[in-house]
Amino acid sequence: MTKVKKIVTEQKTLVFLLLLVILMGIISPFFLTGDNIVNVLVQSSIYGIMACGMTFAIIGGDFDLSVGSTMALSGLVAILCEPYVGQVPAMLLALLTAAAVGLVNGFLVAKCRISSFIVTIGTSYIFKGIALKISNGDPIASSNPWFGRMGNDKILGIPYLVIIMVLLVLITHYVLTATRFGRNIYTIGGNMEVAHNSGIRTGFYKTSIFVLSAFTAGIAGILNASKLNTASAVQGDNAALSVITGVVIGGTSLIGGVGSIGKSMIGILIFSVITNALDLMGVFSYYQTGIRGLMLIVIIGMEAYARYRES
Amino acid sequence: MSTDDYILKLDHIEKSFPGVKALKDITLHVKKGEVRGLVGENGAGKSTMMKVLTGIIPMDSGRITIDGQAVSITSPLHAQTLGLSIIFQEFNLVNSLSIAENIYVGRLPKKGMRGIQWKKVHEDAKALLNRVGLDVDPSARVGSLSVAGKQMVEIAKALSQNSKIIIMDEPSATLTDKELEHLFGIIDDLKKQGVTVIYISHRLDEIFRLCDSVTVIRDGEVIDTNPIESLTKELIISKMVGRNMDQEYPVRAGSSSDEVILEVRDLCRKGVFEHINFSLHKGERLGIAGLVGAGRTEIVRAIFGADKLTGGEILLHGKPVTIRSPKEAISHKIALVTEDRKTQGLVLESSISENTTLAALKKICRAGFVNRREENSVAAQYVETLKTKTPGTKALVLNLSGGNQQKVVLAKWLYTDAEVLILDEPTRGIDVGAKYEIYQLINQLADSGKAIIIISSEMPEVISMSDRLLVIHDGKCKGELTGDQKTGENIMKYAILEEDA
Repeated sequence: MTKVKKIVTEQKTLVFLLLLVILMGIISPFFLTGDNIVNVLVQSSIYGIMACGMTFAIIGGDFDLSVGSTMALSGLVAILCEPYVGQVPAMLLALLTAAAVGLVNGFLVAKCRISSFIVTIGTSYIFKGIALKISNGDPIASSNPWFGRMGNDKILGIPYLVIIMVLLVLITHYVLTATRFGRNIYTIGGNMEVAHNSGIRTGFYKTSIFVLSAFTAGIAGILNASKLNTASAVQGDNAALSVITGVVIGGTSLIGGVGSIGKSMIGILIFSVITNALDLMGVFSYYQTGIRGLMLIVIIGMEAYARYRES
Repeated sequence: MSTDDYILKLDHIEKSFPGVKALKDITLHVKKGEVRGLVGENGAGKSTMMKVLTGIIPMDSGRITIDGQAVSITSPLHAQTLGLSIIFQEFNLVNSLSIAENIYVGRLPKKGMRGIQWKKVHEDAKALLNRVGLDVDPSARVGSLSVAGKQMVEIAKALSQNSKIIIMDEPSATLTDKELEHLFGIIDDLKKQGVTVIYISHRLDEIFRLCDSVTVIRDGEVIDTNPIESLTKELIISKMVGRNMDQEYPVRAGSSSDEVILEVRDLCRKGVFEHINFSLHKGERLGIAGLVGAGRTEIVRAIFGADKLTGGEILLHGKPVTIRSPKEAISHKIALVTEDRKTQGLVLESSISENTTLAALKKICRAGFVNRREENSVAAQYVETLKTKTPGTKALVLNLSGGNQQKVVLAKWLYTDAEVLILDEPTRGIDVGAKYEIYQLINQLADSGKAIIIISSEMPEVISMSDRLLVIHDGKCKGELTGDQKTGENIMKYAILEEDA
């Protein structure tokens, strides 16, 4: 019994997610069907992939508001370059572009010591501007029939999107928990000064978290464009806040130094399940936006209030 | 003289914290219009006394009487309404607001729907500023003022509340000589206006310049109060330090060797310290004494590469080295246990294991992968040898006591195989029992050949725990003391009496 209590208090968000799933299973007979579960996972996949990089950034004590623009830019590069260099090189170029974006963010934060809030808002405008320019503001469809299959095909009933997300989550988990690199990310997020005084190359790690964040946004951008068979400069408009919200709901603190990719994924899944549930119940989408905001305040608010009562 | 002459009377004040008795039977009577000096070592109990007096912390027993009325002070705000203001070293001012707004913060005069009476605020503020001799526009932002200017605003704020008693906690620490003269002038004026001033300072010159009488506090007790005419600097110093040092400190078994490990020549960081020369031997405990703010921490931070040097040379084993970052210092086997372990020494939300290996993570990694089993066994070893009290190596350091946290910091640095261990205030905020254990550890480390630098503001500690002692004052090395010369009187002489050095 005490063990159950311990799990409930330590894994509040997981318990919340499970309760949500059970509740929905009772309300809607369609919710727990294989098709719908796959549907929820596909809905989670783009933000789930971005959450991998964002989790590095947030554990490292910063966050990246430019992932939406990076995602749009990368999708456009993957489609626009294809006629000239072929599909695979175009996708590699897209990933390279994303990594370069991250390097710019990392340089400005780590070397110029500008706050990541300012830097990534600034660069998100800049990169969105570039995306608008190269696309002329129009959605651009892929001319390669192979491209769209990545984001839509399945293997043994499981979409590639979901498989890629799961792989990235596993890799992220491994890097964060088992490697020196991951450990040092926790340390710089936990206490930058201690890290520096202990001989950790804080500049390198600060830069790395932005490169990783942008890189996963790049992957997400390519896959999202593939899923829609179209890229557009406005594709990632809500991405940054949605991903950060998911990571934070999962329990990875914005203060840095704590959290895990598992928690982030729970946060992302809570959002997808709620969206899916509201869809199934036929709730008009305008209400959905409001309900999502309410959920964020309630879930985070309960944590904050509990901590306040403790102290 | 009748009792009504006393504006402030403290009688038999007692205050205990877990493990220490901070104030013991404090009795202090101050006359109206008097300037009273309050002196004592770091940690003698001055600030606890001021905190009790302003209601920041409650007293256990005793009585406070202001102007003949027994009062029980519940908060700084309450103290102010009773006519008692305190000006702390850290000002309570909002830099982004104007001077006038700061003076009347929280009590700007309003008139019904017409809102704040700005004209009155500015006129009154101007009058107060005139009284303290600050010739600036009251609508100027406080952030634009110098430290001295801010201090004047604090005094004006106290006056605006009709304070009868103003307590100043080391007001001179950051003032230039000219600003200081100005402050003295204002205090003289206040005295003429019948305001009572309690002036806390380390600087005896100022005490003699300003005060009518001096109270010496030591170990939480009032030693005595004397009129200034009957005192000399030497007499005050002997009252401040005159304590017996019994078995608070373990005696080390070994002694230092002749082998020089670290030598610094003419170290300088412009505007902070200069002409710092010393050598450190294998197995030696070198103490660095001096007042808070004398530049002790800054010197060791620069040696450790945390701050930049602007001149001088560092030699390790006789060879000149350049240390540009803590990373390079660590690779040269130098470790710095910083004075604030919570913000500079530990990642509080991480485990003992993770903190122990933090500065030498490479040692337990194979091809970039952390070997957690090895990490835990390393941490467990240090928990055992340093006698850290914890349920396990996976416990968060957040939940450990101060002494045990400090042991984790020590473990972290020992695991880097450091030869030179610099300890900045190693026992600050640690209870007496744990202190003794830390002292034993320091001795064991020195006996095992580590070269140790100890900075401490607690005089008995730095005397007993060092083989040799440097006294720093105003960024300069004022004296080197060994053996019987290591006395509180000598340290104070070098640390306070500039002209004698």
